[in-house]
Amino acid sequence: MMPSPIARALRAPVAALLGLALLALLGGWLIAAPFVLGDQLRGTAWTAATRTDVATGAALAGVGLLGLLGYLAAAVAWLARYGR
Amino acid sequence: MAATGVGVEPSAEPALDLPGAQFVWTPPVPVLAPYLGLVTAVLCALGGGWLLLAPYALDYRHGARTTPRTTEIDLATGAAVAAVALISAALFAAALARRLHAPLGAELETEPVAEPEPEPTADESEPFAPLYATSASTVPEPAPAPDALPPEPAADPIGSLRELLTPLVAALAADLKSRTDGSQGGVRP
Repeated sequence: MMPSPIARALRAPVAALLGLALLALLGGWLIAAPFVLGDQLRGTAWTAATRTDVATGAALAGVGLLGLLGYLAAAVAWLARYGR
Repeated sequence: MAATGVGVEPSAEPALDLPGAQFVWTPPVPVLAPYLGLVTAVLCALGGGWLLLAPYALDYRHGARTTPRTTEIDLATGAAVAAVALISAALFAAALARRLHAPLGAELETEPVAEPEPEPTADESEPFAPLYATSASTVPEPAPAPDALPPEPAADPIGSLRELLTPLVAALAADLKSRTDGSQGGVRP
């Protein structure tokens, strides 16, 4: 049975949400990369590349997780207000 | 009943009480969620752009001949982040556009009206019953009631205000006059 146009319009963008999750994972990878790959030695001062990677990775992970949670919160709030 | 396809039932109270037609209220389209996703994806794309620029802006090479591995990692990760973020932003924008163009809102639903069956022995005790059961095109207009009162004239707010204030003004004038007479009579030169 063909879904109605309204159901098609209200379908969740699953691929886009998976993209946000992937962005959060890439942020986590950026945080860990300097230490995992051995570019940043333990006990030494952080290099500019390490600082940039950690800061940008933390920002990406935080924004990605906040976006996912925001999408979830908005959808749940809409369902709580108008859903069955 | 309008089927929204997302498990949401329209309100049971029709806003328009017409026989054979009613307004069915449907909930507003949820646009906040894809909007938040779109903003997030755009921010992540900006982060990916920064990752692509950072090795050159901060000069990771420090004059070395070869490109350090951190530069390669940042470039590769930045390109991946930018690509994924742009694709996600496009998908969220498409979802937002679909929802904004969704045919939701107040819709006038007309219920199918059953064809009236000819009844030669119509009950005369209920002359107005067929009016609500059949369409207006097949039912003759009912004759006006013989004892129907003529329509009342439209209310005149200025006239009613005048009627309300006239006795008040008259009472005030009488009171003022009595006070004036009393003061003139009480004062003796």
